[in-house]
Amino acid sequence: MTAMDRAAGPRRPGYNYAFLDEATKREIRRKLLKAVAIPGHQVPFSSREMPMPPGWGTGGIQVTASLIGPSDVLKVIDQGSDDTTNAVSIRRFFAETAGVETTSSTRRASIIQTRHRVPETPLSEGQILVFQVPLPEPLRFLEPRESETRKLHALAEYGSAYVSLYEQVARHGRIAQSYDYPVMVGARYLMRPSPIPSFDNPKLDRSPALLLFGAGRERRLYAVPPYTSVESLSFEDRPFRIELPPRRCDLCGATDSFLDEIVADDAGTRIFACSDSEYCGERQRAQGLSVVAP
Amino acid sequence: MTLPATSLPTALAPEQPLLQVRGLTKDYGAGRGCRDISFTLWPGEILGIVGESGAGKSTLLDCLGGFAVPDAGRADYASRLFGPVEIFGLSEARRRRLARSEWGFVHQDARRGLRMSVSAGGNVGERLMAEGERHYGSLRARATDWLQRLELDADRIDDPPSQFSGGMRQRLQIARNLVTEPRLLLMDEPTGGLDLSVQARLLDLLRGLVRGLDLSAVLVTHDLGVVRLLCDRVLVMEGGRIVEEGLTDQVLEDPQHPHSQRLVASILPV
Amino acid sequence: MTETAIEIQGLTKGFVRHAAHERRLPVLGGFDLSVAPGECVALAGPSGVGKSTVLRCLYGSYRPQAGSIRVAHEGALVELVGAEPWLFRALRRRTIGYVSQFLRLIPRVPALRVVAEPMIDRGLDEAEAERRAGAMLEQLNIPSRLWDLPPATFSGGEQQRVNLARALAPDYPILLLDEPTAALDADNRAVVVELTRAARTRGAALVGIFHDRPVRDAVADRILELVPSEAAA
Repeated sequence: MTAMDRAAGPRRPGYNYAFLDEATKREIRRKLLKAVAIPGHQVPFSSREMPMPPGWGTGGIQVTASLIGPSDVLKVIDQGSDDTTNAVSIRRFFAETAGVETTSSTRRASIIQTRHRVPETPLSEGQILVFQVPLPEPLRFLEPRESETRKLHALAEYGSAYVSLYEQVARHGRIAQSYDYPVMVGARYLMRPSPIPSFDNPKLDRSPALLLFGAGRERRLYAVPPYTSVESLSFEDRPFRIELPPRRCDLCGATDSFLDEIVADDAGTRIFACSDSEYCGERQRAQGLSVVAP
Repeated sequence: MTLPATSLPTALAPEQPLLQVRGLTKDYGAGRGCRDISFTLWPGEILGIVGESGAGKSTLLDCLGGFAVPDAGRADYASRLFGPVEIFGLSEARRRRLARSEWGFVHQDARRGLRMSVSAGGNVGERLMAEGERHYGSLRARATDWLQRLELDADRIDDPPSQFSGGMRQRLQIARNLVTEPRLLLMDEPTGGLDLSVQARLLDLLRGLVRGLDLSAVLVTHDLGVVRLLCDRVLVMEGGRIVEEGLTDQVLEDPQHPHSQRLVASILPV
Repeated sequence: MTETAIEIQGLTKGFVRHAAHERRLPVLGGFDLSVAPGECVALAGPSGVGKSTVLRCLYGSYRPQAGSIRVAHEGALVELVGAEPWLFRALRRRTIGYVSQFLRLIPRVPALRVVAEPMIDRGLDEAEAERRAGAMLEQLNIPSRLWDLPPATFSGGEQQRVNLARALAPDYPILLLDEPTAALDADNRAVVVELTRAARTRGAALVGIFHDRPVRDAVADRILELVPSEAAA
């Protein structure tokens, strides 16, 4: 048990369960069912005002609010970390409005709301990963008109998506995009996986967990049901590749995890540490180290 | 031997038309638009559409290019992909497929036809990518080839068109259209706004490309000099209607309609 | 009955100038002409009598008001008055060559290519077309160092000879010659006479306008004097 873990408790009076009214939650669930039925397709929804500014994950929060039940266990991460201000306040929001149990354990959580990462610990069946999405439209780069991008999706005309990959290879000699790397879902819809590192893209492919995406400001929901193929775009002669940094985590020694470069002390010492704080902590504990939070 | 004076043997009739437009009408009201336009375009032919501003020639081209929906009329097209099709009745998916493979559209303002922030190579490669080309090396090679065919310096393949001159942009726009080897090229004042010497080079390039590619083209212009150099046949439009049509030399040397005579009388001697 | 290459009957052609108060300019009224293969007919008469108009009606540039023009094309006698544009395109590719007084300049095409193109259009392979084009240019005294240059840079006489080469090289069954020797010196006039007679010998039907009398007398079988159209009076 860490400081992030809190047992289920009483709800704060004066609010509906999980803040949103039941009609709104039902609408979001209906839209989510549609999104699950058409993997990767963006479903418009009437995003509500939330008690925090858009850009703080209001899309993800609305998805979580519409799904969460009293028996759920919630984990919230921001850039892989359980204890950033954003993660803490969202977790507290649901602890107070729904009274649910919260955790930092990827394994124990039934719902994980995330910004910019997929946990290193493999997900399992029955789990739901809720992504906070700032910009849902993968074709916006080349097509500013919404009516036109919808048509492109409808007709599966995704040639222009390759233009941006072409530009990267032409400029940098390789596909340089390392975040928000576009994927084809179920060999049909082009999707932005939200700004997760491309390092995380393979974790989306045929994931046993349900992946839900909420964009509050842009009013879009989309989903990848369990075991759906998620393929990163690439050229035949420039295959998708994860560029693993040639180093290990300075805290837990992991070589298979996504590392952040961080300043460790007042002297400006730079270290590399796992972006996934829970994963790093677990590994440190397993090695009998005294746990240092990255 | 005495030859019989017969009606034409069928063997002499030309092959199937590429495009046959019948009764095309697009009325914007207030006398603007085009009315009851009918013509046939044969394979390998460049058809000029001339007339003054407001004669309806751009409306006609916009309808053919899918930028405007006609009120009436039909256009039958012999497609490589789908066989004979009526283009206004096509599903959106098929129409767009044809538009990015078998047809090309060259806008007067190259900025409308190019992605200004994307490199020249990306501009030329886009239609290939849309048609399913997923090999970077091959995209690169074909883009290079088409830049060279349009006499653009292949070293500039990674520069965006915003860094190109007007004439270069227009050649890039044409390369972008021709890379999928279309059968039908629609051009709206392709040399408009260019310096005379730049125009001459472009016209000459176009002429060579059309000859070499078995391409047919409909070219809208108000410049009869362009017509003289490029077009096999001409339609003269006035007030939304075709008032005269014929071989280029027929219309330029022996114009019949008062409007054609006025247009021809206004050409500067070449 | 003799074989016919060109059969013109009752050809009527005039012009209406709409901008000049619908002024009517009748030029040809009921003109007749018959030309056999291997025959060369010279059109004669005062300026404005319609000699060039006859050639242009035959080539399709002018559209007659009445009459009939039939020419032998691909084994049939085809009617040109009121014919569709594609027929003229086919005629110009296969059957009728035309030497005008001016070369329609194509800015950047080299001379050799200018001459070879019509033959390539007729289906000759490129190498053979260029070989024949070169031979014809050589006969017309265009030095080979000029062949790769566009004729726009040539002198008037050189341009005219390129023009002649372009019309003569493909061996058209019908040749229309409008002042073919106008800009040429004596030596080159002699070459043109020789080439024209050779075309006649191989069976081409020729109709020409020759202001140069010695040239006319050297090539024409028959001289047809045109008289001003009655309606023009």
